[in-house]
Amino acid sequence: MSPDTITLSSVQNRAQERFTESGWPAKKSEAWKYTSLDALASASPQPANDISGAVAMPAGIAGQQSRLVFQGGLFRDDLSDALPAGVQLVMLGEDERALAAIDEIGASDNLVPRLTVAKMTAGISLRVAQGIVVDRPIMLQFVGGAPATASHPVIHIDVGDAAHLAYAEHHETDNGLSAPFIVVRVGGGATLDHIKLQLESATTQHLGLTCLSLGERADVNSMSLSLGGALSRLETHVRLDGEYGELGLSSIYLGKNNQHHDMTTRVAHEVANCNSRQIIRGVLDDKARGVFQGQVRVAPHAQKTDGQQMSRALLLSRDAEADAKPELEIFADDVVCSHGATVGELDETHLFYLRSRGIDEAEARAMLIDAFLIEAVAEIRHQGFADLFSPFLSGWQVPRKG
Amino acid sequence: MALLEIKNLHARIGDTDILHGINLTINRGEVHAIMGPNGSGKSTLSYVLSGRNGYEITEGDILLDGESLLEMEADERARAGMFLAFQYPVELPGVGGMAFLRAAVNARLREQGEDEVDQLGFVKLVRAKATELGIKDDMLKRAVNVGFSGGEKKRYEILQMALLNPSIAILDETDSGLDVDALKIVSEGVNSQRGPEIGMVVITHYQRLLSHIVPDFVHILSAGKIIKTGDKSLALDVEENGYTDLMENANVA
Amino acid sequence: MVATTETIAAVEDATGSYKYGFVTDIETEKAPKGLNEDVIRFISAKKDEPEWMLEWRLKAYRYWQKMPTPNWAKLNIAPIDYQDIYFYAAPKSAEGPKSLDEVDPELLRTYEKLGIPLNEQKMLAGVAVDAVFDSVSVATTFREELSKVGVIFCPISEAIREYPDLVRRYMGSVVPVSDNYFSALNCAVFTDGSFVYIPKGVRCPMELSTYFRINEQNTGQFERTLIIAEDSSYVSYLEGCTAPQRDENQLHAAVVELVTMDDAEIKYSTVQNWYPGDETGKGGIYNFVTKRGACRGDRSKISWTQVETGSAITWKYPSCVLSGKDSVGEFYSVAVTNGAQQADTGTKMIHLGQGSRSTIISKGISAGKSQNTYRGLVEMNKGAEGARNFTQCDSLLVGDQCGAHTVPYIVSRNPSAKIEHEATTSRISEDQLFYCLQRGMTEEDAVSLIVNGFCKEVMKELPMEFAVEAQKLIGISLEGSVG
Repeated sequence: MSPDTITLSSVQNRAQERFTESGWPAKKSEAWKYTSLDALASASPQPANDISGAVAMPAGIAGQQSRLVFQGGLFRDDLSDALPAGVQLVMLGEDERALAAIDEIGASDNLVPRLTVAKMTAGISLRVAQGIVVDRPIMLQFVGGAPATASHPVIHIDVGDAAHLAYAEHHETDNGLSAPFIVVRVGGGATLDHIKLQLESATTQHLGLTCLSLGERADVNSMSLSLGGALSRLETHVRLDGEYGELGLSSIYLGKNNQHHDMTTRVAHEVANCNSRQIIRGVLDDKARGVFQGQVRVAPHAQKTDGQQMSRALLLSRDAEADAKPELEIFADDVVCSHGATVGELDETHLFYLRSRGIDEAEARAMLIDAFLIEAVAEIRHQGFADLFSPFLSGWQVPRKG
Repeated sequence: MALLEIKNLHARIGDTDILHGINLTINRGEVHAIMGPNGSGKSTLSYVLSGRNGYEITEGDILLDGESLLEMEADERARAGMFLAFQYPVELPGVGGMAFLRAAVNARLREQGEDEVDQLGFVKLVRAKATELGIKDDMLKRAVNVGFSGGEKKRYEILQMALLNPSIAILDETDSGLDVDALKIVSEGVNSQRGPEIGMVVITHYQRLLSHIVPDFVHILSAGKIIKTGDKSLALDVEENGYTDLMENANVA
Repeated sequence: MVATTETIAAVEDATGSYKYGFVTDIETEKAPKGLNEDVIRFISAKKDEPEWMLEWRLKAYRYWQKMPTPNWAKLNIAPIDYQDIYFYAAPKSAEGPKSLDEVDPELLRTYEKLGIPLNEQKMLAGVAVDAVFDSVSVATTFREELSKVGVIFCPISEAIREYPDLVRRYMGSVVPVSDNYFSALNCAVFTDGSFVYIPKGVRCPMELSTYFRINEQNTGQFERTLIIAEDSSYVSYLEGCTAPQRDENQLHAAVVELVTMDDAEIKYSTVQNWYPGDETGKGGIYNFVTKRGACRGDRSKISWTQVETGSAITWKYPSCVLSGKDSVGEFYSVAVTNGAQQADTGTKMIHLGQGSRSTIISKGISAGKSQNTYRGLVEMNKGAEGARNFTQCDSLLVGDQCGAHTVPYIVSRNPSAKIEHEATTSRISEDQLFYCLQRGMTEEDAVSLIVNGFCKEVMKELPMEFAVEAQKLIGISLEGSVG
């Protein structure tokens, strides 16, 4: 592809062609084995063109943040805050490098890079200049929308060498489909703190894909929470492209009623001397279903890799279901890689111990669930993000009948 | 003929030169101590002598009973009579302690054209020697060095030495990580194997070990060269005064 | 292995009477290459099978024709031309070697290392053996002892004729025709295999080994085995052989079905060393096996223990369906790949019954340029109250040109069921090797010692004779892989 064919419309056309060719993933496809998109494929919500009306803003990070607001998937510049110093925002169409990166991802078989790019409702590119320590977090706020509509925002973030950025995603919409596609390049020696809160309405389907690439000595700390939506899949692909990269990638999913939560990660160690660590916790009640798929791939020559992954799921009811597929693909030998997965229920002995100390059942269960989740929560490096996170966990628990 | 002759030995690891011309002669029945500050090349010397991969000899020779070792692989040198007691003995998950000992002893016997050990007799022999070193039976059933304390690891090294009957034993910082009691037991084990046929090289940073394993000769190693040789009193000297003066004098001289 | 020599001799001796139904004029009738209904009728006729058996085969064949070829594993399989295969009695290639001098010296070296006696070497290499053996018919004595306690152990073709009720009741009930592509093919064209029946309360007095069962040379490709253990019975069954087995036929698609009733136990051990092909994998065996155990009875138990080396391509997932209350499924496996081999192996533990338990210990060793994948499924269904699974998958990489992969699928539909899965990856470090070398062991010995230590938990589940052979075998299959 020659440079002069990288325009927004050429990239979008290509994405549309690719989507037409591959379509919605089939039930039997390996990557979507536990999550069915049949209902979504037939409903096929479309982007809305108009944006109007006031938007209720959820509480933000105590102190400050720079909010960028997306209503129904469309960028509301007028409702957004000014950017912190050192951060530049341009429309995606004006950033060739970003377009090239997005186009390349769409070449491999994946749903969101094709569908969302083709139907893009908003496209922005954020750049943090080299060496800048951004003084307050950027909050990507997703609100509004309606059941028949689809939100397809495409966001490219470039964190320059030795820079520091914290960005949060807050998804609390009424969309039929929210399908954000976010691509982040973390430069050499740069650090990134990230948190994603999926708090969609009970009828929303959320398919998010975040693609991260880390340069030499880059350091990324990321946490995702899936709490809302009817069906959600939070997919994260990470490439460790530079030596001595550090990745902490954690997630928590909490399911009730008939919710379906899918957390899928792919971490690729392409070069030597990088460390990756994933802690996943899921709690499922009623008829909810939780899926964790975590692939760690170590390329030949990616020696001295340290890749760890631990996933635990807790089933609170007879009808809940947890599925896990932690996968290791190792082509280098001087590595330390391990993964673990457990599924079970609250320990009766622990429950009894708390109750024997006078604590009622509901509170005892809540305490044990908190304890179960705490190891993951402790992974959040950014204090402001950790504070933002906690109320959602305690608020989730339903008091149980004795 | 000397048991071990180290002649003008120069060695490097990767691009870094570490040994800059070591000369040392060890006769049967002698115990030589090699002392020196960190980075002087003590461990390198032990690895170069035992034939570990990654070290290149750029000049000089090592002769064991008059035969050059340079072309010999690590296991060939071992079967020729060289033993190294490691500073950090490595773990071998799943490999039982007794099975390991048997494999090592049989390798030696096969080389000499003899039959492999009789199982029952071997177990008795091992148990007897193990008891002398305060090694309990269940430790022998565990996997080699897995979960062993520092003292246990060093004792297991000395047990191996007792079973393999080397002609030259190199003890690489055998005292590191040992408390007073462990040090005593290990030293007794080593001393019980001293004799007119065996030569020993005791590498250590501190004098303490040498009060228990009393050397015939003490050499000070600094920056890859032996800068001073003396008898056991040299070790006490070092303890009193440290290495700095000695090193400075060496440079001046 | 003295017993084996005697057995082979006895086998040779007993050939005439044991191969009931195989008359000498077989030499003149062979089915042509390829697969169609005529070939299947031919096979069924040769075996003198009842009508219902032929119908069963034909039904399976028609089903197979409609199935798509599988390709989902991480395997590189060249498409198999089914019309280029002999499904019945492949002809012997020219003539066998006249003496050991004509046999590939590599093969002989391996036999020596495994401690196989000379006569046995001849037998395995296909050298015509003179009838110099002892005429004590071990096989006959053996069968007598078994029949005293009511144990049936015979070729499956014999069972179809002699015990049709048992066969009809159980065959295809654990691995149905429709299960997968290769099992459907097997149902249509299987020619040999074991049938074992252990009556109530009987503990089979000896380990049953496939040595004792006649294998017509070159038809071991589509074996079908059925083992039934009635209430409170026990049997230990050994399959395979450590000597590298060449075979005219590249494709092996066996089906093994096990059934245990209340309080019964079947221990099924496999040591397989098929010819792996040359360094590029050419000419090696494709080993696609469907093995499944149904723990139908309460407190019943099925253990699969396997040591797999060899084969160019291995695709097998011995599995257990744990229906009985408190039933137990176990899977212990060592899979070694070297050269250009590819292995995709693992297990499925399907928990249906209350209190069911499963243990999976898988050790994969990859060397050379090989790829070794563990693929497993642990499924806890709604009725599996208080069920438990423990899985440990460890991979050992030897050298930096190979790959080790772990793909576990975990599904839980019952909160009281506990699943614990762990996987680690490691290698033989320079330090470990040097430690052993410094103790006088050769590099070969050192690798063998360390690798066997790595596999220890699995090896101790193997019956004694197999364990000793298997250890040697692992050492040999890793030759030349380090340094």
